[in-house]
Amino acid sequence: MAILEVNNLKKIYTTRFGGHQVQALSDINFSVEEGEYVAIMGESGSGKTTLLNILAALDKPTSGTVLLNGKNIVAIKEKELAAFRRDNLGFIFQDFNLLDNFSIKDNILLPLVLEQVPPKEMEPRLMPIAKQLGIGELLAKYPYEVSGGQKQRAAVARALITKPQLVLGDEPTGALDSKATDGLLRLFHEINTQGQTILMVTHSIKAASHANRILFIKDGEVFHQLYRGNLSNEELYAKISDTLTILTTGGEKNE
Amino acid sequence: MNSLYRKLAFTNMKNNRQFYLPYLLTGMLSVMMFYSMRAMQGNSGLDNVRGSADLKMILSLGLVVIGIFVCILLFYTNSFIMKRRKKELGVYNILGMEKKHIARVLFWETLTTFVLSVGGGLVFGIAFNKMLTMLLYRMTGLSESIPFYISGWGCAQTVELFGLIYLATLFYNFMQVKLANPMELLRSGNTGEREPKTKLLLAILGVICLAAGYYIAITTEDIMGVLSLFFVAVLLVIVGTYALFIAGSIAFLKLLRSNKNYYYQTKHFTTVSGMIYRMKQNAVGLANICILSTMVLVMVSTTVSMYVGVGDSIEMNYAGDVVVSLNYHGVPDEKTRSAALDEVKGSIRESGRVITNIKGTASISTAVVREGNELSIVRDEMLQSSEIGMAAILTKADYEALEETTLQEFGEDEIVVAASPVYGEDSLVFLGTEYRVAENRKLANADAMYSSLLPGGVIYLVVSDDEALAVLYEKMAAFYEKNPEEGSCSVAYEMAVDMDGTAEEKKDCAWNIRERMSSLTDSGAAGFLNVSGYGVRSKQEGYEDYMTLNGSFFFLGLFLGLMFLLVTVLIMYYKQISEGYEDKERFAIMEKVGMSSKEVKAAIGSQVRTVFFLPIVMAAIHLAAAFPMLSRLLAMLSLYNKSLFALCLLATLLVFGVIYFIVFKVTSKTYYRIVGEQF
Repeated sequence: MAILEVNNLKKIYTTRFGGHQVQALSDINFSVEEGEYVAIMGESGSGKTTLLNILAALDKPTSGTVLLNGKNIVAIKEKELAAFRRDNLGFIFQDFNLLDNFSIKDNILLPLVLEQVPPKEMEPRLMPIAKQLGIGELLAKYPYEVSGGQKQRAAVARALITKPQLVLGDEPTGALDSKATDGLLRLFHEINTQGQTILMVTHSIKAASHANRILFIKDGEVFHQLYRGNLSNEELYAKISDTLTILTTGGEKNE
Repeated sequence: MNSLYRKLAFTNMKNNRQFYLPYLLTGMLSVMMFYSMRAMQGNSGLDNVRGSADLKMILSLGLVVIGIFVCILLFYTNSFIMKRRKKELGVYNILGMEKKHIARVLFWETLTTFVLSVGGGLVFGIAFNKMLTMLLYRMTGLSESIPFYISGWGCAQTVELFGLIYLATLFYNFMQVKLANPMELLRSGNTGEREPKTKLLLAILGVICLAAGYYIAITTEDIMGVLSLFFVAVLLVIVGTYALFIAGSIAFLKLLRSNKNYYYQTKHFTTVSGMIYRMKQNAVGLANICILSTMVLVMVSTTVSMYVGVGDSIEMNYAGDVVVSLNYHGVPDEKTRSAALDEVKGSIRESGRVITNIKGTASISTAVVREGNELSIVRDEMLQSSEIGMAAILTKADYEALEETTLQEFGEDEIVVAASPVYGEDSLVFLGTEYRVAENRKLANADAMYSSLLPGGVIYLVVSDDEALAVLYEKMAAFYEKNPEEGSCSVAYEMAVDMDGTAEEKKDCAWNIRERMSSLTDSGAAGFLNVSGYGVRSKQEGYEDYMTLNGSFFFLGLFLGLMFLLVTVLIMYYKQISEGYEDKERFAIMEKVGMSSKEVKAAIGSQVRTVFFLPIVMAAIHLAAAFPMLSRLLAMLSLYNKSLFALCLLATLLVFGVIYFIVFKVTSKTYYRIVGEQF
């Protein structure tokens, strides 16, 4: 069953005085099945970020629908949006977005506090996730006291603690060194095999090569997609690489 | 090449107008205030006015305070701006400008600031000077015409002082640039915030200091104590305030945080942790605001109540429109007294006034120390004692006239004692003689109030008649003969006269009496042979003196109050801006993580409000604790009306609160604009 369905999504930015119009997304269609691990790739300016913002309900499309479990998130009222985001979506950002005035523990618990979960239920939900992500020892520390990789794992914990339908990643490995990147991608794979649906935007081939399916966006449209099939990470890496070459040199659609 | 730097400097200031506009405005207002004060103080037109010496002394006191505050104020503002601008300067450095080039830009910026602030300030200062002087004259009751005048000295000194201040700020800025490398300049402003440590010891110290200060203020009752402990209490409260804001607040917030059921609630979660950081950055600023607000409130309310209470104080100190007192060696007999009364009456009639009331009282006053039921005359070596009181000895007839009451008959070896609190013993030993106390009375209100100021209080010893008074006088005279180094004693005959006529006429009359007394005592007229000294006090003159003194204090209070208010407003404004920039990112993240903009707004609102109203609430508590001590201090300055003072205090607090609230509203707008329009 499709957990996410994106239909005819279009986004046009208008400059403040209405002079210029910039088409960021022209016609995006795709769907994500439950338990899938999807990477979206594209060059800078291809509309990746716009797409992610719309999926995250942080931005509204000019036209089109986004169905999450059959519910059109475009039509959700402003007032209910924050609660909807909290309950259904988990976010992982390139720059972690941890609050430096909270300890790692409090950062992870933030969504639960906003949901008004009773304090005594918090600990049992926190501990297994923290342990799985290998940050059980760091809970009392503050973001400025831990490494980038650890920060990102804390951010992953924050995204997972609400048991969201869908985890959205925005260049999650963008600010990490290669070792931390490997660690994080392994984690993504692990939580995906436990059934968590993941959708991430990236232009790192390596990050994308861990996904089960890769969508390529160019000029505001889904230009192409690749399935992993039985390929290993390395083989998928080569295939993505080829596709990107075609994409940038301006090859025909669908090869 | 120079014009490039100049241009760069202008552009910088224009682009940073959010910081520079208040800076310039502050500079201008400071210049204006300093110049006005200096010009008024140096106004030669004041020299031949009665009481001008006091006035000028008070004004020069104000000048010093303003000078010091102007320095602090401008330095604070400048260092704030520099902190914000380091990144910009770092970019210049990286783009290839050497530090000496940056220094040139800074030089032009400072020069522009100087010219605009001092120029503008002087123009406004000169324009408003006449108005301010008129206000001062009105408040002090002076009636001189005020010509428009420009004080050359005032201008010169203003330029000199502010030139030095701005030069110092320029130097400070040079050092800032010189000491930092470009990477530091670039990165400053977003270095990671560390969680503040709990300084438990400091927090406890704060509580102790504050409690001690409050205790002193509330419990110290006698004059000597109030005088010597006032500044100790002020110091303790200041130290306590800083310690509590710096350490106490964080300790308290961390305590809240450790309570899981309280902390992990949407409402408290962001507020508590946000407040910990706010307090870390703003504790000193908030303590400053608190202390300044307290100062403004104390200054304005005390000076206002003294100004308003002039009438009361005068009534308390002057028993009549004119009070004539003659000191005799020995108790004046009936004939001598009526001779004195007749002369005073005659003099008043000659001045064309009509007497409406006249009262004469003979009494002996001396400083005493009480031990059990024994009163001893104070000797030199006892002056250190904190139990000194005043004794007034008078006859039954005079006491009855004075207090408008009747006493029961009592014998020659008996006395009536009036004191506050009531004396209470059966007998009293004075100069080796034991008297039986016929009656214990409580002092009348006015004296009771005066009595509360003396550690030993005021005690009235009422004797049966003139003969008994004479016996006592002889004993005292013998005491002084034996101890000539302790001075001498005399009997004072005080005549309080009320009369008709205008203020000027009453003043003239007092002068006439003064001349008459002078010639009578000099020539040794009948009945004036035995006079050792005399005094004529005019209520009207007293009133004018009070007005000049209290009026100039009031003026100064308002002036300095305004100055402190300005400082407070400025600190708040810059605090809001700097917090705005720091919170912007934080709230953006919270929104991304799933906080609705409504929740974010509520969280911001509650933090901003708390930070804002904490200092003024604290100031109000300080005032409440200071009230007993302040009212005793005011009583020393002859303002006994406590409820008037309380009223003035409340009114000042209210006005201040309204101004504070307006400033809060305006500056929070800036804050919200920075944090983001979406909220």
